[in-house]
Amino acid sequence: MSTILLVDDAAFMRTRCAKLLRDSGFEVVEAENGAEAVRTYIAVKPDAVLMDVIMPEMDGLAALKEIRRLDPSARVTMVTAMGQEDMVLDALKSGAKNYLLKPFQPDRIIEAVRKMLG
Amino acid sequence: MKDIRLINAFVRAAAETLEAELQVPVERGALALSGPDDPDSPVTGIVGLTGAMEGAIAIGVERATACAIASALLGEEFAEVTPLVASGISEICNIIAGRAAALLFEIGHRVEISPPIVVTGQEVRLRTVDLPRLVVPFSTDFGRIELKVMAQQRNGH
Repeated sequence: MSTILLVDDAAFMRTRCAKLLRDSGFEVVEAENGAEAVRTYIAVKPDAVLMDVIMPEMDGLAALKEIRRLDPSARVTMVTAMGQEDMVLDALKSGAKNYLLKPFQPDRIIEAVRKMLG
Repeated sequence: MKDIRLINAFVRAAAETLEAELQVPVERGALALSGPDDPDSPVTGIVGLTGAMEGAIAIGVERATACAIASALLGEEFAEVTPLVASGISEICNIIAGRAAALLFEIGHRVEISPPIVVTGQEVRLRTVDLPRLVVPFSTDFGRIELKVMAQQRNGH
């Protein structure tokens, strides 16, 4: 069973997305900010990461860069409300595999996870 | 606000987000100005704005509406406004702010948004000092949802 690290400071979004992933057969571990995401990534070594961008302590882009520095093969998709072109480009240049815009779209999230797992 | 497109971006973002998230028809009511002492909704999500605009936006609902939204989106019944239910309203506000920021970026205004917060209580009043408070109500099957834009365009933007 593939393990997905789900990172979002919003408990509501984590709960909703975790339920979707578990119902789709994935194991889920959660983190609520970028710093916790990096620690959890090191501890758990998940198969893929879904991560918000705007979070307290360490934001998603900083966490993406740190995770990719620690593990250049890390598979990360950003899931965010922020759709400015330069932010999307920054994430993709920093190694994000995909960039999903909220609102929450279950089909697109599952598709993105399956693409990351290849 | 100097440019009506700025407020339109928030109204459009709210309508699109509510329809997409709630999966129900959303009917927009008339835009109105709210006074500084008018009460706010018992469950109010707030996102701060900086950059081309300064201030905040808020999404306000009654307790029953917050519970109905969380129940529908999470697939379990909520009878009280728990922290998880309240988080749902702040997240909707966050998505609206993010969508509005993207729309504003398309017309040349860069707006940064802060992580959302949520306040709950019977006597919620947001003080916005000198900022205008524009209110746009939306009618949905879950109840009335109010968008408040409490922001102004920054000089030089």
